[in-house]
Amino acid sequence: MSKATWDAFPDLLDTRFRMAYVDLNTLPLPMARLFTEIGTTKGYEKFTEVAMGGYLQVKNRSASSFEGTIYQAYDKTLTPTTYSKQYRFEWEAFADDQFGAFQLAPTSLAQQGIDTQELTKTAILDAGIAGTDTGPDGVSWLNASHPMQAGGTFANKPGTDIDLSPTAIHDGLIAYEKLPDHFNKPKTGVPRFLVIATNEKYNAKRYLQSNGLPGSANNDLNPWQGELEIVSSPILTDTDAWVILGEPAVNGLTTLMREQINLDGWDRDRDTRDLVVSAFGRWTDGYLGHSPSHAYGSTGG
Amino acid sequence: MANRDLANGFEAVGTLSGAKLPGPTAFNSAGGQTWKVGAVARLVSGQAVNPTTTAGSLLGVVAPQQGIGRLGSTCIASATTNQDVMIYAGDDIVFQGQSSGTATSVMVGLLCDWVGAAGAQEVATATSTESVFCVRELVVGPTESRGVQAIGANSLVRFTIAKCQVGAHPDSTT
Repeated sequence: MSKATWDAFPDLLDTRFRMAYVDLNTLPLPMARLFTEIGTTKGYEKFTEVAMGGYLQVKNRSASSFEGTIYQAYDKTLTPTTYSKQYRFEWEAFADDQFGAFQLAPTSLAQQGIDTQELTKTAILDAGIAGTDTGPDGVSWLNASHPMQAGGTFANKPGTDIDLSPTAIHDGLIAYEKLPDHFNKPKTGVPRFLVIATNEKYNAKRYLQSNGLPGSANNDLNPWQGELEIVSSPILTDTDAWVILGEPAVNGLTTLMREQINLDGWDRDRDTRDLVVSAFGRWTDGYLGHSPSHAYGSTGG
Repeated sequence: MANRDLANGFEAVGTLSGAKLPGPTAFNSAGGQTWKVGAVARLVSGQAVNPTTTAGSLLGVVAPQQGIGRLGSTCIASATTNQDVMIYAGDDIVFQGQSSGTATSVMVGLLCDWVGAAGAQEVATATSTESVFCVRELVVGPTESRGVQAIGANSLVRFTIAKCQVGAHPDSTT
C-alpha cells in the first residue's frame, strides 16, 4: 500500500495539463451467470447431500417390498474469505488535484470489488478444469472416475482430451445427457452453457450459431445451433479448455456470500489529515454436491 | 441388455422369515482392521476381523456407518481395538450381491462361497469349498442402481449366510 502524495503527482497540480484518461475499466461478468448465490450470517457453512433414486423393483406375491437405499452423500464446507483494499491520499495532494481524478477512487474500488468476485469465480473453474481442486466426491471436477453412491464411477470428460470442435460439441452434448445420478440412472439434464476462454469465443460462435453445418460444403443444417449459450472469459487460464455446463440451479457452482462488497466512504485521519477510502467484502465460491454430473468438458487437445 | 458388472460387496435387503429387517448390531473390532461397507466380517475371540475366503463361517456384512453408505467404500480406515463396527449379523438376513460367475436358476438353494477383496466381494455361485452362503433368489427385472437385471453373467443373487457365527440354527456354525 502506498499513499498518494503531493510529490508523486506533480502533473495533477500543473495547470498546463489536461486530464486525458482515468482507468476505470471493468471486466465483463460472464461467470456470475453460472453461480447460485447463497447468503449466510455464519463464519462458515457445511453443505451435505442425500441421494435416493433408481427404479422400483419387482415384488413377488406376498413378499415384502424392496427396501430402497438412501445415502448420505458428499459434504463440503465453504468458508468465506475477506477481501479488501483502501486508497490513502495526502490531504494536500487531494486538495490540489485540479481534475478531481482522486475523487474517482470510490468508483474504482467498487468496480474492483465486482471484478474480484468475477476473478474468484473464474479461479474455481480454473482449478476445476486444471484438476488442482478436489471436489466433494474426492476427485477433481472434470474426472474420468467420479464415484456414484450406489457403486461404480462415471467420467465427465472425454477419454482423450480434445480441442473445441463440432465433433467435440456433438460428442459432449450426448455425453452430458447421459451423465448419471448416484444410482447410475441418466439425469437427462439440459445443457445450458458452453464455458470457454475468450480465445475460443469466435470458434464457438461458428460452431453454435451458424445456420449450416460448420465446415461443410453441403446444405446440412447445423444441429447444434442455439443448443448452448456461450460464456467466454478473458481471465480463464486454460485457453483451449471447454466445459458444457447445466443451469445454475443444478450445476452446483455456488457463491456463499457473507458480506456483499461494501464501500466505506471518505474518512479523514485527524492527525495527518490524510483521506482514506476503502472497500471490502466477504465471500467464497465453490461447487457442491453431485455437480460433476452437470458438467462435461475437456482441457483441450 | 447385459447386466452391469459392479462387484462392490453385499447389502442386506430383507429376511428369510419375512420378519422386518433388523438393524445392524455393534461388534467390537480387532485393532487395525479396515472396514468397508458391504464386506463380510468374521468373529475371532469375540472381535470382528476381516476374514479370508477360506474361513469356514462368517459373522455378517458391514453396514453403512460413519456417514459412509456407498457399497465398497471404507467406513473405518484403521479400527482401534474394540472400536464399534456395525454389522448385519444373522442367518435370517437376506443379502444381495453380484455373482462372480454366470448364475442360473438351478443354483437357488445351493451352498456356495464368496470371493474378492473387501470392497469388491462377490458371490462365488459356482464353488462350494466352504459353503458359507446359501443362494435364495436371483434378481430379475429393474433394480435400484443396475438397470434391468437378467439371469446370466454378473447376475445379482440373494443369499443367506448358511454358516453364520451368531445364527439361530445349531448347525449353522463351523
